[in-house]
Amino acid sequence: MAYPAVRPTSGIYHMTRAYTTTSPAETEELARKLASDLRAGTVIALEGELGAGKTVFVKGIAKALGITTVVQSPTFVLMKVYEVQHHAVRRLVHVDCYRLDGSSDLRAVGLEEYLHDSTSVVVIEWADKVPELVPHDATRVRIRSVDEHERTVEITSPDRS
Amino acid sequence: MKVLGIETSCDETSLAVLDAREGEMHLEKYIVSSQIATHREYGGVVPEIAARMHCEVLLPLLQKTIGKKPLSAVDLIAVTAGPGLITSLMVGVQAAKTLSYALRKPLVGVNHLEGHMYSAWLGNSELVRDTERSFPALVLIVSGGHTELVLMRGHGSYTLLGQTADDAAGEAFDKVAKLLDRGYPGGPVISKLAQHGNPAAIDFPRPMLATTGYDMSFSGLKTAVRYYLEKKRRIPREELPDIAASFQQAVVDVLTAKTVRAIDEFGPRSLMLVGGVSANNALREALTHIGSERQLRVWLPALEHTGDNAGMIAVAGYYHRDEASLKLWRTLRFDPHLAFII
Repeated sequence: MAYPAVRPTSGIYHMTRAYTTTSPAETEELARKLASDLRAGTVIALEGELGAGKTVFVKGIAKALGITTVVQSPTFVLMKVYEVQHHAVRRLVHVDCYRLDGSSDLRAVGLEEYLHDSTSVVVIEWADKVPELVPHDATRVRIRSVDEHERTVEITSPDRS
Repeated sequence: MKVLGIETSCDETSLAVLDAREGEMHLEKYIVSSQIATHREYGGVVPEIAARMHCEVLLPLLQKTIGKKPLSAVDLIAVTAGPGLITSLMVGVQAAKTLSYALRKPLVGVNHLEGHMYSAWLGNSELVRDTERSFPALVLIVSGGHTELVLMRGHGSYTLLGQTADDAAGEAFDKVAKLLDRGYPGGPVISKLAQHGNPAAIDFPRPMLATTGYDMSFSGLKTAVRYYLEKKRRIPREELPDIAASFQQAVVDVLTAKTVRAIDEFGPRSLMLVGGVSANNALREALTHIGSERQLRVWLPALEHTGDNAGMIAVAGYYHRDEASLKLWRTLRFDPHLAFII
């Protein structure tokens, strides 16, 4: 199910769609489908509480980009970079702000370099902790737990059409 | 041969001088300066602070490690080149390169995970004396950032059998400790709570236990603990030890099940448990039990060498001494994503 809603934010039209999934496998598959026409230079801001399925969502994106290595949680190292064999995207940058209070550490590990790189896709877990680092044209993904298995995935992206 | 080991891949600054020869080695000097107290308030390592602290303490620690002896007494310099936090790695690597150039001593870069494997050599003189008898060895590496099952056929010969599909085992400990509002680091906190708990009290899931292959998963277990806590709403204090013990048991069960399966398939002659989580008593006991049941030698690092330390880096450097070079100071690069299989 999907309900489009259009609202203007700082001059850019954003489109919000919502989906329901009932298992981690479904969440991953949803991400894979949505990411199949992903453009290089996209920043995806992921929000959702512990265990909502954020890393699972990133696994789906990685699959869509043809990444075959295991995408593990980057909580410990803050950022993991995956080289990608894809016609437009060179690398997937997987960031996790779970432990952070501010953005200076992400600057320290070199995130900004990738945020302004037109050949990278950057996915930021716990993006709500570093609002100043999230570009205004980022795609926002909010995952909410309905119960132990069911999740709603709400995706707000700038409408480029 | 005297090996100077340098380790700064995360939040421990460590230096060691290892006196090593064929069949015998001992740590002459060994210092670890931990930053855990500093990072505790953030619930984890803060890269920028970690890097600054490495810079501050590295040279005083070097002075302390070497003492009155001339630095030229060192025959080889071994440094962690990755994986780890980029900002932390660069401090140690830069220091090692400078020393190598200034002292004209050969330099070798060590993979941090391989270093952990060699922590088993520290304090196990029988393993040092006759290493070949322990090969192939099945090595379980468990820490805050890693969970890997590796078959070590000989020095430098590794096959990665399995790894975590999501969270590292140590990360699960940290996250569950946070759910229980018990602070950081989670390993010792959970382990202590679990001492007085019933490991069979709650039947938490054992993810991927039934799957073939050796990959593991701990993310769903963390989520299960979260839902257990939410459903109960109010958790009486007396129940915390049971939750901790049941969670810990689920982690141990997953790790040991995959280990046992690998023993059956590959028939190793020894079993090694290394990495920060190898300090966990329940896991040490479980692996020791498996080893004695199957008549395998079990090598566990001494507790003081389970965490990040330069002693293990020096040992790994010693076994890689053939790759050391006087010219490496020009080209050695730190790599936060350094792959394990070299």
